Amino acid sequence: MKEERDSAGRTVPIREGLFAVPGEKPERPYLLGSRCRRCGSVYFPRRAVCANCLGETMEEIPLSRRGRLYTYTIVRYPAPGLRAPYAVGYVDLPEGVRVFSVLTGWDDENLGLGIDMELVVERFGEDAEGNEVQTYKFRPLQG
Amino acid sequence: MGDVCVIGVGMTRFGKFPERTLTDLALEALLNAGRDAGVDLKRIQAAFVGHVRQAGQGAMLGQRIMRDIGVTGIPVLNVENICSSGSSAVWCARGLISSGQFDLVAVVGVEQLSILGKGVIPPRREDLEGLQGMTLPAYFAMVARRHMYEYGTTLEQLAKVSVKNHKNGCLNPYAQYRREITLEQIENSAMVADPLTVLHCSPTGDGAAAAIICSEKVARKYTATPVRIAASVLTSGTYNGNWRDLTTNDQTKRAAGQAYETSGIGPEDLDLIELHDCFTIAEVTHYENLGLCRQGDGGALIDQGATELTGKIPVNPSGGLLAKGHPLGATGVAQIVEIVWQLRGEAGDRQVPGARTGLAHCLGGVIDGLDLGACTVHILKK
Repeated sequence: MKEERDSAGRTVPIREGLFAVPGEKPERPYLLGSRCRRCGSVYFPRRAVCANCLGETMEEIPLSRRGRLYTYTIVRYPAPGLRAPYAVGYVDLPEGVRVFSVLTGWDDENLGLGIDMELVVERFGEDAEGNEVQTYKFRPLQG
Repeated sequence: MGDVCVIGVGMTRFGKFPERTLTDLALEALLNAGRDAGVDLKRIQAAFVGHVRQAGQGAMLGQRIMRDIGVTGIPVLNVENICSSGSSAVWCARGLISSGQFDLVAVVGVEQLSILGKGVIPPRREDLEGLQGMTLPAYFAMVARRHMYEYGTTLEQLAKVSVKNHKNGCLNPYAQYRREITLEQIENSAMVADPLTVLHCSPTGDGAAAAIICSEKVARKYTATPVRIAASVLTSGTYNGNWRDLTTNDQTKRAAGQAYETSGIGPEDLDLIELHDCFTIAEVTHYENLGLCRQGDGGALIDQGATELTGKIPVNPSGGLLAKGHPLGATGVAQIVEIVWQLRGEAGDRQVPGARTGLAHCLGGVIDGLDLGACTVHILKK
């Protein structure tokens, strides 16, 4: 049992090691990838072993904050425990990874295949201890 | 080494039967298959049981089923490969008979999804995608949107798949849904994950299917005209560093390629196909993956009517997952049941005239970073 004052009201990532949020404003969060030191393959989420060459020396690299929307859907019938509608999609990053992501900042008009997207970190939900759970999301590039 | 043959098949009707139990569904299918083969089930040397264990039920299900018919002490293997569980059980049986280990084997596939209540099959939370709201309809909606974007496939072409399979389902007394639907009804049904409405999605349900599989030597004792398994292939997805092409399915292509090569039977030689139409877009992409047409031409194939019951290559004469239903573990075995009936000329109003060869394709499991989890392709011939 955690003491309440330790846990209530903190923000926690949906999973450790997916993204980083540097301290300065405006916030410019980025995803954490792995690059194989032997063959250069890049992965997200991070991996301990390279699927391409079985190399076991991976370096952590920041991935680009911008990418292109490969495909998406607006989910009207949600996964258990989530509230619809929400949008999810795949975003292609210049490093050669196709990232599954929740989408934000969308309306019925502004999503389309091939559009530019940028990364933000936002609230995803709440955990059993009352902490705010955050995850990375992509939104249509503004401006 | 002779062929491996299917000498008996049986199934339950597919539908929603929350009052029944897994073992009771499975027994009905198994007893039907035993009777169909004319085999004394006490002679069964091994059993392979496909089941996905939804809601934490069904541990040691195979042993429970065999216990209930008094066939005990033999090797029993419970096989879980999501939607390919039943067909993976067939793959096990065929492989072990072909290697000379057994002569006579029972395969059962069974599932009961109605007890889970309504809604989508819960995603796996160990997968980052599942954790963040991926659902199976969402995945296939994303496939559909990309396929439409790259190849000009239309939503109406996708809907035609559902119209066709429901029409076929009307002719199948075992189908969960035996009603025709129109393009308009599909368009106006509830949106699940856009652009896919609920009538683009296969239903959840309950049911079981079974097959008695044996060596050619044993088959000759029971029938002069056994159905032969000309190819049996299982593949898993390819990991490609999260750069999967959603418009195609590499593992279906590989499985089909291997099946065509080992059997010497190509797509142009097939008389019918039962394929994994969990969503309308899946059927269209598998036309391409199975080599019925070029990549991107799946929509045109449905427009031409080529895959209708009366077309040049009927696809899902049983009604497919969309109309016959999709009790996960049962599906792969039920496809084999349908093809055996078709090849024997016992498919009633949905009979494909003169069918001599059929292909069954099953695919399951959206897993982070893999194209999909498990794929089987079986080719059966007279």
